[in-house]
Amino acid sequence: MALPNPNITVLPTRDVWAMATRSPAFVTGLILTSIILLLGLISLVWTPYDVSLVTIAERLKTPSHSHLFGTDHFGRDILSMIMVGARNSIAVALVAVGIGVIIGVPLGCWAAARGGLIDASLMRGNDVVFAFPALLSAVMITAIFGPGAVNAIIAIGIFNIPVFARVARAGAMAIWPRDFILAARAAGKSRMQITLEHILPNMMHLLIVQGTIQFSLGILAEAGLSYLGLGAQPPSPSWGRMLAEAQTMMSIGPHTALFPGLAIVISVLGLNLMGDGLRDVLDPKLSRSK
Amino acid sequence: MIGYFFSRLGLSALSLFLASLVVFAVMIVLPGDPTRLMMGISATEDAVQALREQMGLNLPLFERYFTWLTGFLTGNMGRSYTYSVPVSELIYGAVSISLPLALIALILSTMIAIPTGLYAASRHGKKADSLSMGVAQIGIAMPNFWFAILLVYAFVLLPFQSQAWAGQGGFWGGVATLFSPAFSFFQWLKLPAGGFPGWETGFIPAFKALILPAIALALPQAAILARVTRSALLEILGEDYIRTARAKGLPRNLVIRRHALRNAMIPVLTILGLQFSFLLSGTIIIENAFYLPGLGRMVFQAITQRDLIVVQSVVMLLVLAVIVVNLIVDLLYAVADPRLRRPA
Amino acid sequence: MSLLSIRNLTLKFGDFNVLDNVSFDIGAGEILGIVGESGSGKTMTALASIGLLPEGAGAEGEILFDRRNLLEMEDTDLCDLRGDDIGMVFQEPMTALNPVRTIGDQVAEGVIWHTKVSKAEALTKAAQMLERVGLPPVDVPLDRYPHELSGGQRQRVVIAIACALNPKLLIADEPTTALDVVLQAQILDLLKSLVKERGTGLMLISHDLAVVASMADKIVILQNGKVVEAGPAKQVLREMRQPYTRQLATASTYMPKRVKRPQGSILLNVSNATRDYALPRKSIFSKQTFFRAVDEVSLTINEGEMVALVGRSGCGKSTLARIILALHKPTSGTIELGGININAANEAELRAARRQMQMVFQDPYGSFNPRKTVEWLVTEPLNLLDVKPSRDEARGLASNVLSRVGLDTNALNRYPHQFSGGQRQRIAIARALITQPKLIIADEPVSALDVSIRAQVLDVFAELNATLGLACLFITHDLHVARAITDRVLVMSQGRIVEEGVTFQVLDNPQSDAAKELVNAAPDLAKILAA
Repeated sequence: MALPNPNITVLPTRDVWAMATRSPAFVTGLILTSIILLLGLISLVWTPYDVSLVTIAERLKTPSHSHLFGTDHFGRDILSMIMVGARNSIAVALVAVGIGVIIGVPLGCWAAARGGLIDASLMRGNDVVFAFPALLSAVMITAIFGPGAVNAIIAIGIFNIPVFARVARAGAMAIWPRDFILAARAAGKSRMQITLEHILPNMMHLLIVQGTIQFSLGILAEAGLSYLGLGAQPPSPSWGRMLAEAQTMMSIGPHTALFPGLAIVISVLGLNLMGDGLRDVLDPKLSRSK
Repeated sequence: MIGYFFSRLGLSALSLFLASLVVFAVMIVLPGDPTRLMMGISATEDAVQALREQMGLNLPLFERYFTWLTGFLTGNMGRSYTYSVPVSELIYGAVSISLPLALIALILSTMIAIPTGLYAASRHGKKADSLSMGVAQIGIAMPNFWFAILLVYAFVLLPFQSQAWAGQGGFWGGVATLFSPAFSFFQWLKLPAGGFPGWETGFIPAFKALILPAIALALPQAAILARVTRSALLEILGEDYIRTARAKGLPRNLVIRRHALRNAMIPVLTILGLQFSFLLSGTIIIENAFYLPGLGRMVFQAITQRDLIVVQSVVMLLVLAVIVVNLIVDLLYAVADPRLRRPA
Repeated sequence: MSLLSIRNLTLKFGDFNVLDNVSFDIGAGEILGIVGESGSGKTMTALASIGLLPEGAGAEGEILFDRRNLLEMEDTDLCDLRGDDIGMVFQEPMTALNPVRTIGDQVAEGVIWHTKVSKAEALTKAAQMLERVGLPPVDVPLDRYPHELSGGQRQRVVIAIACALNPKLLIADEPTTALDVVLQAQILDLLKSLVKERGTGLMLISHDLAVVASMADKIVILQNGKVVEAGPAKQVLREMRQPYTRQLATASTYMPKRVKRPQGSILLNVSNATRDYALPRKSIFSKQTFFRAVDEVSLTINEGEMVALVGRSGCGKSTLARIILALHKPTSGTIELGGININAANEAELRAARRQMQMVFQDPYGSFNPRKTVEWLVTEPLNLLDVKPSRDEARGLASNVLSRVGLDTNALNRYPHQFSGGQRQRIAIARALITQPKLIIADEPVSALDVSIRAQVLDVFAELNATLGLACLFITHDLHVARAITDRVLVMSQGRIVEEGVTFQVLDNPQSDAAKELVNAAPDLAKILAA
């Protein structure tokens, strides 16, 4: 989504952290994201109820002391399902971001370092990938290889590759003409060395900001895929499928649609706020205008 | 200008060609033999083979690609494996739903987003700015299908249910009574919770069926666009030429209107172009959420039913739409930015 | 009665005092020069005088324009003044104009706003004004966009905008700093003639004492937000009563002590170097055209020789430097350093050649990777050695070169942003020295520095030349720098070297048109004060 911002403001890492933690957006985002992360982590060792425990007698209970978020149409505890779903969403989005970074960033750096035909063909390839509506291709990929969390990761990850390639390329192109790169070339450094020593460290921030954005988009995409029934398969709970099931129960159990939706909003909001806070720190241009 | 136009056109054509190769290749590697699916598992090998020949599936790849592409371009896209009707007919029906839906959503989101972004930027750092951008943040974070579920609940289910509560008294009864004028209005509107009656039943019922889906599609997009508009404006308000304009004696709001807005349209256009592709992604989900038989739902069903010939054509059509929209955006750049018109 | 009268102006951002009790007056038709180094509060004085202070600035005191205090006026009233009674010219002509609107529009806009005339009338007025600033519509039509104009032309448009309504006061904040000397002289002439013919008061802000001396009737010298000295320009600069005034004046005419060295053998030999750049094609069908940045240049530099390369901006100086450093490939021609032809060199030979020559850049902020320590940065060129030194050896070499440029060893563990501009330029020189090169190519190494720091950096170069016998190619647009530090000068114009010779001879008695143009345009403080 976000366009790469070639205005690279260079700040030492320690200052960035200090400044970011003074930004209310960043701190709010950090707290929201931590809540979701914590829920997912706790679910590894403990959940209030077993998520596969079907108790028809307890079905569609509204929130109460015994079931904080109520139960769904099978009598399963919604809080427990959200906790396990958090794990699933985070894992899918995180690995998808990882795929994008590991493949996209080197490609972008390579294109920027070599220029010419390599750059042109890589960018053309990017355009072609961007021409496919992302979810459509994700649906196609999961349809080819079958639905499931792993294929959802691949489907989302593939679309992160051109995004990171673009960001890395734009960042690197903004750094290459700098004088300190000329100095490194005059010191006989190879393009590879220059990329590793000078280019990458100076665009880390761009990548981190883009990473948080892609992470949040990944969570949304995973929710969309599992809403369509193409994400993690039952009995493993996922936020999107919980909502798909809740949709059919809206007239008798509207609370079942409330909490999974909130969980998605909180995690995406948290990540976006963190990204925003970081960007404000890294791009003072936006905050200096009169 | 002409040179710019032709170079953009050439790049778009190249992208389109490459994309068509990708679409074709994906269909080849897609597992599951369509002829088997069409004829069922009980069909004899000979019968399947005969159908393959009839459908041209035994021809060399190059020939199949060429036949498919010329067919696509001339509107002769073959027959659906599952429905045995011409694909073009299916597509025509679906487009008559998806296109109005996408257009309403696009117009709606632009009409909400640009004034909001402008307002927030002009109140930069003030409460109104933080408030509208906070709402926008939540809008971006909201999955559109959840928003769709909530919309249906608020406009269709709740007005109906609240009648029962209103009589009961207590807190919820009070709330129901308070909002009862709104709820009776919603009931009077009679927006459907899903499905599409078809344009032949008249404009009003068909249009009503598109209202909630369009809102569900538009608002998250509007939130993104509003933020982009605001930040593009703020970035431009920091430029030197804004100071020059202020030094001429123009008041701040006039400077925003005359100098910042047009320049800010360039990043906004970029996002609008990108959003079109997101909008198409969104229709897949929203059409499923509202049971609208549009392109998105059609392609989703065709993929799950292995109706490859439909998938191929719809995907190609959507890709064509994205590339054409981006070409238009590129050309609008040149209108907005004179630096692109002539080589420097 | 003066036109603008600033009384006890104090300006704060939070607890930080930008201006402290500043007072001065500008009368009608008077030129007031404000001189100061970076951080002296010059630009804030200008912005305050047109009521465009950034948000968060706390101002006390009075800024009286026509007896009205700008600090107490509403923005709507200020808008009536701005552009009508007070005009402003900014430093950066490349960004001061809106790129998506025509120049005619931009000049006419203020006219329409203030005088409520029709667009056609305003455009006629704009055309007259543009003609007056040297852009007659027959040559530069009103429907041109800023990107179609050169930097000098754009600054003329900015001046036309500021002067379109014949303001009583014109504020010019470093109006020529972004331009080369020849353009600077033209723009200054234009400003001077405009204010003289119209009786406009001019506030001219500059870091350059010579520019102000050549223009101003009165001068205000600012240091850290305080007025150090104020009075009639020539008197203040001749008498130099305040130590800071003297320091500024001596620094801007500073000549480091040079030791005459015997001529060495030929170190660098450039013969017929040419570099073409492909221009963007007008369309895919048109023929590829080229711009020749460097055109058949031949030059030699001897060991231990200080050579200046001067010329207007865009004449090909920096491209030539990059060709010599083997950072760009020449289209044709050869470059030999210490007998190695660097265009035909294999990797080992190229490394050997690169050890012999290093470079120092103009911008002390952009020439270091901000994420590395000074130790890492200074030792980076050791990568060129065939046998890489150990970390301790490298550290020892680094502290050696740092002490050569007058910096302490404890600088090693710090990051570039912890140093001032002058210190960074020393670090840059240290980095260039670490491979013990015979030649340093310095691309405008002092032009981004304040005058007092400039003097110190020039000293470093002079000292290195004297003690190490280092040869230096000094690329500069500042003839004073060339005179101060070099033995020989090469004058470059449109990609060619048009004149060369002993520095003071060429600069005192230029022969070629390009050299004459440069010499005549360069403001010279000593000459102005002597006149």
